Amino acid sequence: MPDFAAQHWTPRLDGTRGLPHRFPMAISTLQTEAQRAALIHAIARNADRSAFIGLFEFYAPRIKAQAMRFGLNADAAEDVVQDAMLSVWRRAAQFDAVRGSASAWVFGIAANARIDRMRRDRRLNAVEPIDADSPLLAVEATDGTGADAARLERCVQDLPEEQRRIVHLSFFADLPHGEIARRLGLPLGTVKSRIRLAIGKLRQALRDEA
Amino acid sequence: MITLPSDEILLKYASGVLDPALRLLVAEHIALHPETAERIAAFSEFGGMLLAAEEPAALTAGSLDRALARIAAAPAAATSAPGWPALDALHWRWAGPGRRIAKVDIDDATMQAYALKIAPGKAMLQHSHAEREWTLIVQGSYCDENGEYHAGAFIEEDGDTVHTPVATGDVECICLAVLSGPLTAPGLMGHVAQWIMR
Repeated sequence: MPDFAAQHWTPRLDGTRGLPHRFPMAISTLQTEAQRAALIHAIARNADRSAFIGLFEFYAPRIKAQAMRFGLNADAAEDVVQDAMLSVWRRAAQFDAVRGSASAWVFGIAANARIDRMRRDRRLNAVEPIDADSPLLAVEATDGTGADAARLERCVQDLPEEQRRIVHLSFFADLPHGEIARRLGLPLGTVKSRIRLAIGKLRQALRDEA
Repeated sequence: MITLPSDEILLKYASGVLDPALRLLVAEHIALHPETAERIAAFSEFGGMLLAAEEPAALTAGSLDRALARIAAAPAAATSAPGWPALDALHWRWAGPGRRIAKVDIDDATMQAYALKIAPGKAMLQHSHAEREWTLIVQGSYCDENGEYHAGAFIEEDGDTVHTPVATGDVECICLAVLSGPLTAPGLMGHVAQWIMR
């Protein structure tokens, strides 16, 4: 289990602290979706640079980690971080907290940045095909994100192991059903019905949480 | 009958791993059927939870400073993604009585996209699918062995099925379709179709 707190407070490689300590809002208070939503609103209203730094500190390392799960190498993932955070700045006014959480919004922005980056990479043949057995596709609960981790656990960890794996194969890699069946050693029809079942449970859980 | 994209398709749409052709087909469907956007939002919440729970990766030196330099120079307007090409701009070809078909080139797509126009009462090409096919009706309606479908319907066909859709109603039926594998159609029209789809 990674030590989330230690990771989060690791000094940046450029020698400055991981925290924007010159700003009074300590990152330790930056833990709820509502607070992150408030930072997005501050960018939209006031082009608030310190709010941007607060969001960057939380999201940039996570966008990079998630981009690598989707099969990007570290350099490409770093580019996705830059492009996504620029979009966060430019599109902040489009964020609507009623329609979804801050993380869901940033996730969508990061997904678009990934698509753009992979499109460029495909032309250069630089995308490494994702291996469905890769440990990057394994999802473990982390213990440091409070409400988010708890919600994630309820929604995903409740799924039986096999259904969870199927959902992740669908989510992180665009594998055809036949390929998922081959990897899990299951008949195609079984995979299809279990995907339906797993996604149905996931949707129900998300609805209950909403 | 209204038919909607499956959860599996929307999960992949939210996470951005859908083939670009199929992605645009879903986007066109959302324009006709905005409720689908709410289902996608639920899957984006799932993605957001995974993002927030992600173990942070180390950034390269100066990453924040680069981002700050970029936002200082950021232009106001965001670029919009390209959509499905305008139907009028496509190269339409004759594909039998009352039928026209146009191949649609979508950047980076590995799946094949095309558009179809069928006059009322005319049958589409009878065909089966080597793999899977997704169809969006943008105007008019058609019926096949399974029922009648109207504008906005998003229909997913598996391999193995052979069907013969017939356009119904008074207006030309216009469909957008994406195929995961080659189109196969029996008989002479099959050869015509394969020649057209080259």
